[in-house]
Amino acid sequence: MFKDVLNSLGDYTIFAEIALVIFFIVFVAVGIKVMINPRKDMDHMADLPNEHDDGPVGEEMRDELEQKEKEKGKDHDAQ
Amino acid sequence: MTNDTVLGKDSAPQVSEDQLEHFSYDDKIVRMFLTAMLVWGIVAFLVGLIVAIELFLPSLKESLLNGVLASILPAVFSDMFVNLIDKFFSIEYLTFARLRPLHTNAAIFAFAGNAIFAAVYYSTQRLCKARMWSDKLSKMHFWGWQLIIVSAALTLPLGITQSKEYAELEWPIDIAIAVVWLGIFGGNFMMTVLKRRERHMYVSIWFYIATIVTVALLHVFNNLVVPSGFLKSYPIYAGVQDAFMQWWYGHNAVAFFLTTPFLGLMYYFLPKAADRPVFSYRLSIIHFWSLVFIYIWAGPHHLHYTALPDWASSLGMLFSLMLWMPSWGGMINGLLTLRGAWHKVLSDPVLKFFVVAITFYGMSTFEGPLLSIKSVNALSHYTDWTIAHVHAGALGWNGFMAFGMLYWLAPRIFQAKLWSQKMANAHFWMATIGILLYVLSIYVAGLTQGLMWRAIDDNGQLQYADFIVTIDSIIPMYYVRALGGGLFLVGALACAFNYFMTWKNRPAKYDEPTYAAAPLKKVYEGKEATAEARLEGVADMAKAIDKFNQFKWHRRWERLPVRFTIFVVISVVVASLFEIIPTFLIRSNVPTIASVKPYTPLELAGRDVYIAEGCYNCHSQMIRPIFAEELRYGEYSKPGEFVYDHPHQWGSRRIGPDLAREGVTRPSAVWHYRHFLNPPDTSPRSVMPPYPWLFEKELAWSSIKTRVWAMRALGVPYSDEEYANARELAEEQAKDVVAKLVADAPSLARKAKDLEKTEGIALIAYLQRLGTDITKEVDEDAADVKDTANEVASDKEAKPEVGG
Ligand code: HEC
Repeated sequence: MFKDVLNSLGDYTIFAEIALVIFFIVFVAVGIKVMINPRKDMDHMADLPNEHDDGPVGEEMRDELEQKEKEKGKDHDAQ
Repeated sequence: MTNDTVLGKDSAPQVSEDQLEHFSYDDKIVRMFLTAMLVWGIVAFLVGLIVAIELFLPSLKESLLNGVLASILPAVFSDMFVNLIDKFFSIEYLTFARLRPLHTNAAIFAFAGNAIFAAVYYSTQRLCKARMWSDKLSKMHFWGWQLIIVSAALTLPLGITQSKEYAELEWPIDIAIAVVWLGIFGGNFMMTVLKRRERHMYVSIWFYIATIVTVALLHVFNNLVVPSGFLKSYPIYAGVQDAFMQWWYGHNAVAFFLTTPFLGLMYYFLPKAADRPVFSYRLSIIHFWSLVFIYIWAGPHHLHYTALPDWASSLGMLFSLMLWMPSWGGMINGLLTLRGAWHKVLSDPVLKFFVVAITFYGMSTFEGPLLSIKSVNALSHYTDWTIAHVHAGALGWNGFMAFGMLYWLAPRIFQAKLWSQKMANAHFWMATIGILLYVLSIYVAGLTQGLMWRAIDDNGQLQYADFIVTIDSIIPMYYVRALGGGLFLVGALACAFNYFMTWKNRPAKYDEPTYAAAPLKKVYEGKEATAEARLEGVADMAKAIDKFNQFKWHRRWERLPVRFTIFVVISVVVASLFEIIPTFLIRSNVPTIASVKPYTPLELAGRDVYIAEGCYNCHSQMIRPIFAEELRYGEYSKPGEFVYDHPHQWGSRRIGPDLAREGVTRPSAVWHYRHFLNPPDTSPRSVMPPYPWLFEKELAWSSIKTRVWAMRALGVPYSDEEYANARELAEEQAKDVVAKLVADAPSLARKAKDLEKTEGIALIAYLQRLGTDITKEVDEDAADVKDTANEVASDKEAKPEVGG
């Protein structure tokens, strides 16, 4: 039944084709945009979550962690 | 830490002290949402466990009465348990079909929803270096959302539902959702982003923006209805279109409520917990745009082999397969963020939860495209396989992500060390083992169902013609599932205890550190100064251009969120229109099958009983053009049969058999009567709950006319006469049904007068009508008859045969 309906309305597969073309264009555009973004901006943005902004206990825990890492590093060097 | 801390070491060009603004973050709102997440999570898991148990309770009862348990247990105990089970089943508010929507809504909108909000409030403030724009709006958002959840928890067990999966809530609640989500939450969020002090928008914010605008769009367009009462409405779409809109919504709710916000959460909390930046920020951008762009197109994969046009479901399949790439890109990006930090994963419960969550994200996004392949879908659709898939996603990905975030946030927002690291680790293991038990057993159940339903013997007949046999074989898996779900719940309870104890150790007064950063404008004034110095000695003209550029530049940053939001809306809307327009063009062109007529007023009311009881949670009404399926249920369903179905009742799973041709295969009223009173009477070992109250409760007779009115408003061709006499017509038909019932079971003669008034009779009238239309002779002009015949014939030719 749908075959008849769709045939009478013209070539519907065109919708699928246009969809793919649009997708492809956007995908390539995003790809290019991402490639040409300056590295400095990218690094800066990637760093945003790791600002020291987690309140007193949060920062304390972070310091502790860093301390531990350092000690671990020392152990490593000693071996 | 009451001293001001200057943030944004690289972002802010040298700004002098007097250009800085001082601010603090609102963590109270995070505490509220996180607590709500935990509480509702436990409710959602508990209700889930109850509905899981309900599916094997009949088998347990059977075993207590005549089976193994009867021989082991002393009679007193088995009697007691049987009694308990019967008591439980006599409570209409607790049937499987009424609790299941409560379970799904609680898991999605209450548990995951509150998790999203906790994450958004914590991270947005910090990523924007700005307190939420309005604390009042934040509070209104919190209480508004909890109120919505409570009203869902009340209305769904009462049978007040639109019967669209994950959009069950009735129109007044829908309006509240739109206001709270878009007006209050969305407004507060956008204003915060606009007033931010960090010019760049971190990728998490992108994911949040996409979430807010897309969910609003989906919610509004899927819930367009004509009310026929304070808590009752009919969708403006019918049949194929309604199903299409529903799964456009359903699929994208998974995308934009359970995926994008949780990816925002991942991109923020994972780097925090691992204390290193995300592996590749560039990849995260590609991840974002690909998801936003591809997801929308994939919706039709929920409707393979249904009456949806072929090209639409093929397109859905293609885009679903394409989704695989960005999803795995995101997963790899997440896992590689842990490079060099894997030793921490061993000791830190937060990272453990995150790693498992991301792994489940990868697994579910691999499985999703797999399930969208038509031949796989032919096997998997309507079976428990889908249930296993969604739990891998909702418990594995969303659940683990949410709990990981909770363990990371708790010490920070309560400003006290996590009470017990050991207990958090124990939670992790319970949850992991629980979910594995759940998912594996339900995979087995789903595959078993799929294979048994389609098994054909040497004579070309169904190997398991009795539906019950296919249930018998998966009951053991249902016990295992309940065990897994139980473990997951116990884990969550341990988490709640740990959380509570951490809260108890909080300081007498929370410290609220203040931070300092320059507002966006100041930053640019700062830059301008240096720029001018740089341009010394250049012609005035060039200076002017340069200044103008900087002005534009500054505007650009301020406008960034707006422009960004517009991009997202465009990509979502364009993709949606590409799918929706062609499907709706068909509306006016679906050659209505001449013999398909609107439901009679009584059938319409019976249909509303079907909807209120949530029968669609166990029964589908859509026979696919698959050989074994036609053998079992009869001729496959045609789109023209559903043109008056506001809303459609195609369903998405078959715990019980398909009912699309029930009127053809089981016309007997007395069978239905006995079956509803106690299913095992007609169908030994049935897991369908008994519905004795259907024959006690009176039908809402006075509202029948309003229902017909609403249908007429939607274009269903009821005549003026039918409308004027709706109630009388219904009463007459009820008498007829009962007369036939009494003819078959004379003992019911005493009760006939009472029975005529009940909901059950209306429901039976509806069931007797199901699927009968196309078998009827058309008594109008001959041309119509010919059309129908042709249509059915040409449908047959075009029909793809699969399976068997
Ligand atoms: C927990 C799932 C569940 C719910 C809820 C449920 N059913 Fe069923 N239903 C079943 C199962 C399983 C069977 C097959 C065994 C049997 O006949 O009882 C069945 C069988 C049926 C049959 C007989 C089908 C046939 O011809 O063999 C009808 C009719 C039916 N259900 C109607 C309903 C209606 C109406 C509702 C809502 C009021 C409902 N069911 C709710 C699970 C359920």
